[in-house]
Amino acid sequence: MLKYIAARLLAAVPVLFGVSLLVFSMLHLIPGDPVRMMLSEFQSTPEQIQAMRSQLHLNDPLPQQFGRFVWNAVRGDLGYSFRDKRLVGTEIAEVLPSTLQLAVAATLLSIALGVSLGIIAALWQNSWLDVSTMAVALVGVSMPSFWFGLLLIFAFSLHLTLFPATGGGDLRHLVLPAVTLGLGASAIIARLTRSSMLVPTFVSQRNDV
Amino acid sequence: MQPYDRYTLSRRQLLLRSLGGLGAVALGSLMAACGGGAPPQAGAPGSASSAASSAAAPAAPTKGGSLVVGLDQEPPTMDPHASPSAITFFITNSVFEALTFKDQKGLLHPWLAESWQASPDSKTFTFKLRKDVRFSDGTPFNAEAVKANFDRIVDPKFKPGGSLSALRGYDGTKVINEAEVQVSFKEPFSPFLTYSSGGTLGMVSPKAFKEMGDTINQRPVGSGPFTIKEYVAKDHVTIVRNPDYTRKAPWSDREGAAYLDEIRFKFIPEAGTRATTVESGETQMIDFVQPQDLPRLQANNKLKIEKVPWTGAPRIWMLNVKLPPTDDPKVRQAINHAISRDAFVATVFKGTANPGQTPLVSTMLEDASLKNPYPFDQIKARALLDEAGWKEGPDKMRAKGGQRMELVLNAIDYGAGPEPTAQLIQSQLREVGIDVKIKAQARPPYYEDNYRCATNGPVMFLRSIDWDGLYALFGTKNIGGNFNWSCYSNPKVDELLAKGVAESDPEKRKAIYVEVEKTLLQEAVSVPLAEELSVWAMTAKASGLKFDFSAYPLWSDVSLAK
Repeated sequence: MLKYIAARLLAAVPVLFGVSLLVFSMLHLIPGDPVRMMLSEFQSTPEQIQAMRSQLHLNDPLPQQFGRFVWNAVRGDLGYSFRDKRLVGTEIAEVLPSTLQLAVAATLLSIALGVSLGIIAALWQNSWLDVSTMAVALVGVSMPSFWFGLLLIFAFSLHLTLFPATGGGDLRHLVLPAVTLGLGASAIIARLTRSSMLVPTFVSQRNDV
Repeated sequence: MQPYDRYTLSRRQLLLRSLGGLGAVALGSLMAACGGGAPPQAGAPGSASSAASSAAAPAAPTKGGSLVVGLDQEPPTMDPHASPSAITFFITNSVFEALTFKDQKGLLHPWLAESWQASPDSKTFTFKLRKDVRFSDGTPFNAEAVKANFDRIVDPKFKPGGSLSALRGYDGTKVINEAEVQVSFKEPFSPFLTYSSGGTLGMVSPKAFKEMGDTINQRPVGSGPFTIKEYVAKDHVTIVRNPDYTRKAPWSDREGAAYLDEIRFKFIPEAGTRATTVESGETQMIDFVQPQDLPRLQANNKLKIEKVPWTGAPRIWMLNVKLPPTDDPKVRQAINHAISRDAFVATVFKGTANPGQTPLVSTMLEDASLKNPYPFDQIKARALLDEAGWKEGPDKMRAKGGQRMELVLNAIDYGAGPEPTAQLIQSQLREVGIDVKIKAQARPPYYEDNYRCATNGPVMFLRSIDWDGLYALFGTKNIGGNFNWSCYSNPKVDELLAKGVAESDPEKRKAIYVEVEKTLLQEAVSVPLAEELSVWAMTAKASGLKFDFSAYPLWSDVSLAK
């Protein structure tokens, strides 16, 4: 298991590198000049544009710029946000706890719900229980999460006023977003669980792999 | 521009929007342009109230209580000098005080300055300051503080927002004595008096910006009726009453501290969710009510709606005067006659705007000679096109010398579809035989095309509190930059614009800018479409919300009935 995790983590390195290279190149393929974009609200002078350009090292060759970005990122320096006037690292660190909280809550919910529904559907295969569970799962998979989120807000925030539509901090705030994210995933897990349980040669297949 | 196409809510689109978001918003109180990021603001036709302060509350205002306000975006910073974004000033104009205050009618009032005097050449401005003001950290407000604030903005090490354009050509501030300063400019700059009232030049405690480092962006210190208590990124900003505020705010009719104990501004970018929160009571007030939500909120008797006109240029199509066929004044006049402004107000903006007629909104520059210059008249439009040599072909579309009449409209797209006015322009012009191609694109190429005069012009808007906004839009020097996207160059207009910044008498100044607009209208350089309104929805228990000339809210007189 540890070996597996280590391998996956290692495999993530080239992926991350590839993604950052792609995103970096795309930024430079789009027409337009990042500095003029940044200063576009102002009647900026050519001197201001030049100063900003050299400050951001935009006059260097592209590979050198990318190299600098990667080198800084590896050392934990993600740069400075022009818009928010703060270090990007600080910004991420600030919102990371909320992201983790939501991700963990949604994952737990989707596994708990998905696995149990899948087992129920498989145990009573082809019964009304199976059909209705899988129908719900189908709807869950097909429904875009932002739409589902809106429906939840409509029902639970606007009409029942049980949960707030926005904000964060405590459990009450976590419910709607966690259900929004978790339910879609639980539908997939339910279908996977059901079909895995219904494969008669489940055990031998696993061994073959 | 905020601007902005926020009709959808996927995270991807929100992300795209926030990437473009810098531009989407009004530039401080100064100016900001946008290709149309901003979604239409609300207001029934003809109902735009110019004195849109609050509805009169019969009972005496209640003291205390707290208010939760849902805002459409998160301010990038609370530092008024660093912010390029109008949303900052929605909060900070009640935290910081400026030298002067411009009310909704456009009149300038004393604030931190008791009086002021412009030199005859409009290069030097002398302010006599109040002596009884302290920032909430105890630092005294005086001539040194004014100098420190202005010097900070032009410091090359500082990254300013809209504030830098408010000090265009700044030459320095001279401290005459404790309570008198002289601010000088290298060139005549009479708009400075207007800009001295803007949120971007709000006075920040010099002690705070010298000692706080980067955290100044979250909790800068001012002298106004509120102080910033906390700033939680991506969630909310809370301001609390400044108990030491004993003066009379220039928008108020009373002395003393704010009514409310506390106001919490929550960031709720998705418009539908924002509307839901004010209906459920999760918030008591929201900004930026969208056309699709307005009828429902208006029908709710627990809520009330307030509308305030934005200042600056309306939603406007800048016609490129360099590129055929819009290089022909007759064609441009024909386009102006072929566009029904009423249709825009009725369909795209659904009453959240009034018809646009002039390059600056009518609430800002009004004159009998500027009234309804291009009434909707398809017959006249067709006749003008015929005169210009563009004849109708068998398919009802026009052509000249074998060349089909085609225009390219530059339309910004933040990810939720192009600028909302583009398709209506397209269909209206088709009726008189002009084929409009919509070039919907992301912000960087949109700007790039505008700089290169590569299309027949973009739809955009510009926030500005001074008539000098016309210089940014139509001054020859701003071709290839911000924001002369008509690529228009007229020595007579340039001369008038130069006279406008050198004239210190307000009446004479006004006459100059009316003359500029008359010329621009005669030559049909642009197609003003709609004057948008900033629309707020709030609980019927709230009263006392006021606005400044920029249409930014002021919070000290707001109270909540029990």
